[in-house]
Amino acid sequence: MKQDPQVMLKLDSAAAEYGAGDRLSGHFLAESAAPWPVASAELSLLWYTAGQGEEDFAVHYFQRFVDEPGRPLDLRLPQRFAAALPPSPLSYDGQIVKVCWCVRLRVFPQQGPEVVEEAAFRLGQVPAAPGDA
Amino acid sequence: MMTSCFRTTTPSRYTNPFATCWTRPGAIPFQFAADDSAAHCLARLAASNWRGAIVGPHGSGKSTLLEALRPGLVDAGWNVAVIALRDGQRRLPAGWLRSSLAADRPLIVLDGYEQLSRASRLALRWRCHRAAAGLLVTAHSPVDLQTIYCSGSSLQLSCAIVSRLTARIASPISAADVAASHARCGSNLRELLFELYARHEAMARGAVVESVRL
Repeated sequence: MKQDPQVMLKLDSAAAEYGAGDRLSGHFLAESAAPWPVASAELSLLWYTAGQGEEDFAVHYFQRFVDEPGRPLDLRLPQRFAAALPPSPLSYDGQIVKVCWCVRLRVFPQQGPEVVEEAAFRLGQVPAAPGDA
Repeated sequence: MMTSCFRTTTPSRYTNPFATCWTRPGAIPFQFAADDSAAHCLARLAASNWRGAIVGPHGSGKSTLLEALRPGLVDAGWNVAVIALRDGQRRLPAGWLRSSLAADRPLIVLDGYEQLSRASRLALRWRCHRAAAGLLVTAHSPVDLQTIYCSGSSLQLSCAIVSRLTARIASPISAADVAASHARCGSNLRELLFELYARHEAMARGAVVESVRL
């Protein structure tokens, strides 16, 4: 029976907590018994807002991994990435709005729909908003 | 509905199933009345010469229905130009209609038709007629265009949407919470989802939340 490859995206820091200016690193790979032809993979390090109302986002770091002659993209092998984090915006867990950071990976197979994986992390130590007790 | 709830220390949109990203128009498939569908709506629009209105109260899913109909309009060969008018916007932005009508087979989708002044509505209809353009609008009550769908809400619909949202992201929101919000918000599903967002946040943060009386 054919099984879809499982894409795994992992940060090197298990705590997934970073300070401004820290270096974030990690890797991604696809768990697949057979070769999985992939055209490209795009990795973004970004922040976005979530909550009620309008949303915003910005990409801080972007890296494209391309399958090309002489440099085949085999996602069964770990693909590493690293980037320095900016000083802001810091993560914030508010009741109305949250500032969220994540590494987002989009894999474009040569056939079939794209696969998206995310790894959330925290930038800074801003305390979460308390409940209205 | 799932009752287990977790709160990670890492902010993420996956911590509240009622956040805008999960509830905005297009994020939840439009729930048609039992014997209706997008195809039926498009057929009614076609029968009225591609000019019609979606009518319903605030927050009843009109914008979501517009999103649901959009692929069908594109498939029918229309160049769809969409604009949403906010409170007090009595006329279309300068140049927007001219550039939209310049496309091949244009169809204007206007969310919030009744925001326009009477003169602006008349001008819009006339210019669409002259350009052989389609016109699909939303309004809170019947207008001077054929009504192709009346949107509304019910407790059953609210529960179905909440179940769908909480199937992916756990929430402590109960069926009783949904019923209480529905009683307060009536047919305004948007307001109901806003309420549930706030209630979810409060409960997830361990705040004391008044128990729901049914």
